[in-house]
Amino acid sequence: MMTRISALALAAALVLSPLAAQAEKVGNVGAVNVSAHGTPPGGAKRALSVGLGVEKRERVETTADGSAQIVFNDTSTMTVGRNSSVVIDDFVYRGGGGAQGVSVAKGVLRFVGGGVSHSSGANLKTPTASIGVRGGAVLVRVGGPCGTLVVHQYGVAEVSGAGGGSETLNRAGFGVCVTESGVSEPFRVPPETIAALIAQLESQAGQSGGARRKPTNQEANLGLGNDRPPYVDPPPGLDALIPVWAGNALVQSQANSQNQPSPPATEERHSEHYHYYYNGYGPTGGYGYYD
Amino acid sequence: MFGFCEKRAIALGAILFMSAIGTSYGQDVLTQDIEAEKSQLATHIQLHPEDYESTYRYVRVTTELRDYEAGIGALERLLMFNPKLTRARKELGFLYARLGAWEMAAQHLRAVKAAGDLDPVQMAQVDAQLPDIEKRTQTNRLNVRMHVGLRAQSNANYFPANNLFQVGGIGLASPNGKQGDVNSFQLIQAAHDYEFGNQRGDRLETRLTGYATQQFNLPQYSVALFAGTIGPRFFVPQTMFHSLSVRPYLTGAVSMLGSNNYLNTGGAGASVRAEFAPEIWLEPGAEWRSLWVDPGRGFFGVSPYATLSTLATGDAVTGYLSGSYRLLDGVRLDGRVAYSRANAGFAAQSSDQVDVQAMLRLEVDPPLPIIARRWTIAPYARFTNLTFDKANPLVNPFVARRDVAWTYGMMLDAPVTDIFGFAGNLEFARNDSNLQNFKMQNVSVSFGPTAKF
Repeated sequence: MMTRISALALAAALVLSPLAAQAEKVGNVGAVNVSAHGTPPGGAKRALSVGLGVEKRERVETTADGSAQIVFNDTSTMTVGRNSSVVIDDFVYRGGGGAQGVSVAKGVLRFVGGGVSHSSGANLKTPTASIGVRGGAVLVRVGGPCGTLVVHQYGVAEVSGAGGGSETLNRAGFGVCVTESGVSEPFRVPPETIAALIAQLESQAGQSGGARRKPTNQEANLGLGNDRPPYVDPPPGLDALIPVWAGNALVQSQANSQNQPSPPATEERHSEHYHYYYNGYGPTGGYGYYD
Repeated sequence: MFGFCEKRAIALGAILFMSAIGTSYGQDVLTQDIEAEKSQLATHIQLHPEDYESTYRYVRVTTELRDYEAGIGALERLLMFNPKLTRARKELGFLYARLGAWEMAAQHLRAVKAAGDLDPVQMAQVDAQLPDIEKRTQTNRLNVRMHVGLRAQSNANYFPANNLFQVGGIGLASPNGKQGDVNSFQLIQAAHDYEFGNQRGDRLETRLTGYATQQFNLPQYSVALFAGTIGPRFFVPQTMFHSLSVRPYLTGAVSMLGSNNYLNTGGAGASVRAEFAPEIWLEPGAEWRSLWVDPGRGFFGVSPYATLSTLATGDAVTGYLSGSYRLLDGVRLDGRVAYSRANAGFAAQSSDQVDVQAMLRLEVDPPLPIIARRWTIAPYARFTNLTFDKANPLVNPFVARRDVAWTYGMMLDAPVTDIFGFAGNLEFARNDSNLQNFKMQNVSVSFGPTAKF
């Protein structure tokens, strides 16, 4: 009897193992505002919740009130804004590199890179663009007259248009529009556009990102400490000394000539004004003082 | 094989190199421990996003490791849990600033100010840095630093040690001597950038410096110096460096000594700045200047003793290498090495100069929490070797002048508010010339208020 049960268990394990291999967890839900759903490959649509595992090829969709942050195994994060739909096409992380691919069908997405993007790069796809993110962070919006708007935050973003053309973004705050006709020249994205994108990603009033207990400022003050941030503009260094040294050089240059005594007449050599000494260089030779 | 001064130069280089290596090695060991902690925390908070204590620790650890993106992801998650978590938003703004994402940083920090629920210490940090961050988002920006105060010198007339001179090769002792003096000084440094608007960040850079002193007892040595450079900086698209730019520029200076125009210069140069990472950059360059010394005196005939001055009418070519390396979050090593060839009309005033400067900037916490900016204590050293082509018969017809000068100092920059602060400097300078006339020592102390805007 025991042998038969073991055989059945073994058979079941063999049958189910391909499914287990398919359900490859690539990260977890970090935060979620309802309603946001995930649809794993071959699985049913499910409501996302904080801490839930996310699989490769899972589709993440949000409604007009929904948003979600996915934390990948390489510490990269993807925040999916309202009215969005994305698919995690690929994720492989082997410590020193791997592959990461996400397709955005609609909506707003913020990608902040981690281990994969810092080594082999991550790839984001939209209906009109392919965005290679190397060690960086980008904001992406799909929809509207701009087609795909890519706003660079950090690192390097190589943007290719499905209809041809490409641009490399490497300066924070600059972006491109990618339509079916191609990729625009990089331009400085207006602050209000960036603000609107941030608003699409953040929790609205009354939302708590799925947290059972909200974090408080008091806890944050204790946890984050009181270290002062570094200077945006560096403190004075050698550059602050150079004018002072230049002033010294002017004075020293002039003083060198003004301090020089006049050559005294021979008969005045024993005057009380100057005391002569032999030196090692001059024609008098020798060394030592005399009056 | 090496003289005493060369040995000291080598020793200084060795000390700086070993301290950099030592700091680097110690940092490596520390980094390995923190990396392990970061990895553990990352795994933990991925599975338990509501463990806030671990999340805060993760933010601090990743910040220390300069993995700012990891900290950003964690803080943005906290803000999804509580959009009114102003303290987290403040940290998020400053992390974006560290990445150079100025617009994102400014938006978050403005939101922090608007919320107004941070304690005064935290709010003071935002007030102190937000104006600088907002400037970075502008295409037309001006930064000005002013420093006024008093400076005391033990040897304001640069008189030779022991009052000894050579005159035509004959030694004599002067009855005069060094004179200490105090001056009031004003220093203003302005940096203006005008961006051309392209993504590369090409811009026109203008740098102006004004420096003036008023000696209390030796008015003939009061100085007024105005200097400036102007030139575009073009960024080169490439993938080898974090950033690479080229800057051709024009440079010029006008100065007064006492009530007379003393030195005027004009020239041009070019430099290439390579940022290997945000923490380290090098900037080699070359510059040519024409010099006019004491031009007003020419109408009345130049004193023959003018040929003893270090500076002379002619031209100078300089090759230099500047650099900076941030060893730790609050520790930066700056350096500059330069070689100059000065050609004067009188061969005894033509010279070769090697100039080596190094400064270690240590950012420290000020004594009061309400002071938002870190203070900077910066020990520094400078070595110059100045060799003239020919002997000056007025001093010694057989010996060409050779100066080996050392300067050691300590600079303090102590901002108190977002605009005002104090700065001070203690410096010892020594010139070991091979001619008694130019051997000298000078100790100077300066202190006074600063302002930046």
